[in-house]
Amino acid sequence: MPKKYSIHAHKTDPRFPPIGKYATVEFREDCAGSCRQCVKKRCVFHIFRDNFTHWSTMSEPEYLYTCKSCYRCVEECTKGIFSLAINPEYRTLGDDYWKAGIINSTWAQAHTGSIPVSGAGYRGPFAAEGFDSIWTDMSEIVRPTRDGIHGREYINTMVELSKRPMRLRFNPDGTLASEEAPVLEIPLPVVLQQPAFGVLSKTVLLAMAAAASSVGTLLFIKAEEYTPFFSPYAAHLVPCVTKDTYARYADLIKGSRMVEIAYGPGLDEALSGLKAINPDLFIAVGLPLDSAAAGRAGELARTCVDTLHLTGSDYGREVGTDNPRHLKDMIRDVHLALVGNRIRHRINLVFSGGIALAEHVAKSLICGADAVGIDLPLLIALECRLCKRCTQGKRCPVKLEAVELDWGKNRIVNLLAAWHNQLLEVMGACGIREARRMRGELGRSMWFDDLERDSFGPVFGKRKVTGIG
Amino acid sequence: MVMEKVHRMSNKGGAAHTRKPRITVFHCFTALEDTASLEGGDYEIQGIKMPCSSISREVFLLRAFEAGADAVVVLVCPVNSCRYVQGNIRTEKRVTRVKKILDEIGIGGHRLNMFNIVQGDEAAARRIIEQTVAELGEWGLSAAA
Repeated sequence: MPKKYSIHAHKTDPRFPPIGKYATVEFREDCAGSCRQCVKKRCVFHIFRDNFTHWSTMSEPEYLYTCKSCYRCVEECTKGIFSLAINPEYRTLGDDYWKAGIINSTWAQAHTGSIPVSGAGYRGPFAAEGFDSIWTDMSEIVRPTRDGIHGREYINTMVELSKRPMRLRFNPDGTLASEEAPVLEIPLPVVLQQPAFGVLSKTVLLAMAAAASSVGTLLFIKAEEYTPFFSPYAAHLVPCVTKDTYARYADLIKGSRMVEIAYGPGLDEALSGLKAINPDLFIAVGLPLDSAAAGRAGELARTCVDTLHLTGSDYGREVGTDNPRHLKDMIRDVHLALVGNRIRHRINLVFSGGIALAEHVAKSLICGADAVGIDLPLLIALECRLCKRCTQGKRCPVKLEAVELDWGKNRIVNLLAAWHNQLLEVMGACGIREARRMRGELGRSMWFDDLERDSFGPVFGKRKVTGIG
Repeated sequence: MVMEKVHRMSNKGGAAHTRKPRITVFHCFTALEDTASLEGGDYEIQGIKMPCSSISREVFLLRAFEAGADAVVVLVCPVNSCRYVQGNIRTEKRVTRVKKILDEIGIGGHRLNMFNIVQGDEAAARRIIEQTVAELGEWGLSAAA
């Protein structure tokens, strides 16, 4: 049996108390501990004890909101002095897409490296927009193997970002006659990407590079950010250049396995130039995920380009339009356009922008992506609150500029470990043993729009109100 | 005028203090949603949002002074309007206890005050802050800061 790929997580404590959701409010005055059955001592998560310890160490007034919302204290207090409340800071965390729950769960994953579990049950809507309107078909979960997907059962999450030979030729004795083409593989269908904003200090970027190197994936980084400090991780860096700047980074390109060049006029000439610098170079082309993306993908699939890196907005939407479609629809568009032209196998598709949760990885693959790129989750793993104060020149509330390299690397590795385990769970439950087989496998998913149309359309007709709710 | 007075008072000891007065505002989320609307004056505001004022324990109020506050203001809902019934009553008792401690240790209980404000009445909150800044002109900046 081949050695299993696994990412080893190391618990990495946060530097600042995370903004939790729940607080326990003691609102009555008629308790003096006289019942001698105080629930504060019986909290299984030690919330009251931790709060007490925190008081002695905090330098400024700072509340801990680490309650897990199990309601034990509320239910068991003999005087009924407790009530649960939502932390007001939590309400203001994130925005409509990067919700407080996503940020909080990403912090927990970066802290522990394990799959997040919510204690108070799911009270959200049955279906929502975007990725939440897709359900993966987990019918295979009813017959798991004896020791499960984390035991001996092998699930391969490796994907290629290089071109694959269209056919193989063999000698009469059965040996391979055709030349073996070089292959660029990554062990999980997730690449890292330098975020567009944030406190991107040298250490923060180095932490991202070190994490990419540790798990074996790639970091797409602006070539101008490269310094000699990045050389230990050079094999896992993909410098992003343009046709005007690539010649300036010839030395960097010579030492890289893959380079990303921005799409634009004169690209053919630049592709020849890149191959002249490094003939073994794998080439990715970065282009915006707009309405012309599918057409451009068809055009580029017939060139020497290995991978297309299509980037949508941070909110998982099409760019360059007033009425943007969701990432899931855009992925399907590009994928199906290539399938329709029978050239899907000639190129790999990586989609970025709005990938916020591990389930988005699996759902993107199902829609037709080969891999996805993540940027903002990397910042969140380093405790970023997405407050965007840095974009206004204000100081970072979690001092990202002071992040230490090992701490930052471990946090990102933990996040990727948690995402990898969640991907394994989904794939195992879907009965898919290869991430490559998951690409475009719509049969393993159910779409709310389709189900509603098929089930209720004959009764109520076409939906008259857009959106789900 | 008030600020000049504040600086003059703080220079009593001879050291050249030119900093702005710092006011820490503990506020119930229901009484005042955010302290951002109170910013902009010639003072520093540190807002501490709470789901209910009843979680403002003594140690938090004292820690605010230790962290450099010249005055601490606690904004709570009006009597009988607390979402948690007795939260503001509990806060009042705690503030009274901490005022006594502040008097004993020489910082002065007058630097800590609690006010009841109607939900969303930002004008009242701003008046309270301005009044506190004016009073700081009389008291001078905190020696503990």
